[in-house]
Amino acid sequence: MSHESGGDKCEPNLIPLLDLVLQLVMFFMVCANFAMEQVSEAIRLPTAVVAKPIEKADEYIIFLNVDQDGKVILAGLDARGTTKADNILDNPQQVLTYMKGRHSEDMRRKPKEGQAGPTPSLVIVRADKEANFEKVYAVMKSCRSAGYDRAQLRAIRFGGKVE
Amino acid sequence: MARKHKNVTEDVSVELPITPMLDMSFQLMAFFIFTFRPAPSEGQIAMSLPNVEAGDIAPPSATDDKPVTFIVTVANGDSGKLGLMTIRDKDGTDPKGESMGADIERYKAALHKRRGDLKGRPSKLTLEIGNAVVHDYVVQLIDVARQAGFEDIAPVPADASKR
Repeated sequence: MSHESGGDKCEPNLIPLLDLVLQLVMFFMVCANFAMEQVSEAIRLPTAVVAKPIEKADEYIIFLNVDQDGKVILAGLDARGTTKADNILDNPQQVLTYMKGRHSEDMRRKPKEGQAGPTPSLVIVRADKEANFEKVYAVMKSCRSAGYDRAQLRAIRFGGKVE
Repeated sequence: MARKHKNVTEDVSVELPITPMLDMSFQLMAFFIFTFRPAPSEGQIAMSLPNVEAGDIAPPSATDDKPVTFIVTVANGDSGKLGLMTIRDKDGTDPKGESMGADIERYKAALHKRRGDLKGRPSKLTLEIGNAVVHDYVVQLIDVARQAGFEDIAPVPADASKR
């Protein structure tokens, strides 16, 4: 019995490998976030056990990132201009002016079906853990004076990564 | 002379070049791997913005029972930390209240004790925070109070002129 070795080509089957690679690509595509977030990465949030998972129920949201000096950083869609200086509110008076402007915009919105008037945006306060509470309180008070009454404080959920 | 055209169908095997496709998939995957950043688990603490008298973390109780109000006064500690804490009943007879030191465990125990004594009566907690305490510790105080069962929590500056 003779075994003839012909000119057989031996090629690895690349299709399962390609299938797996595409699965991985899809995973990372789903996890990637290209949308410009309105959060500032410079803010280090405090930790809280009672912090609940974020519910994205509100359509209109205003993010106020309060840094450790008590200044409010506007980011993403809330940003007013292209320079860094345009997007920093240095004191509660500037916060009040900005929030009054936003409140006026909110009131010009068409109310939802079944509602008498437009709902003001939800204010989300992301305050740095080293920020002085008095300054954070001043920011919240400015928001209240501007006409907002609903807000959320953000914190890292216990067990999450703390920066 | 008519020629008969025989329709001869030859077997044609179409081979897709998988290797370039795999190469592009790896390029895409490398891009998404390098841009992938797992976000810290952020949570929300819902609240109402401070009104003129005091800041409220939760909306006022809808029941007719007048809530029992406890006031926790937090003095300034070193470098923005918690200082001496005291707790008193707003309508109580002891104006000085119970001292809890700067220990958050004693604060937690005091809140649990008072919550237990209330036996289901509505309650409110006002935190009068010193001007140098940082936001991190205020969130800790709110966190502990929420765990103790207080829903209506009002952090305010200790200095009444800044409320």
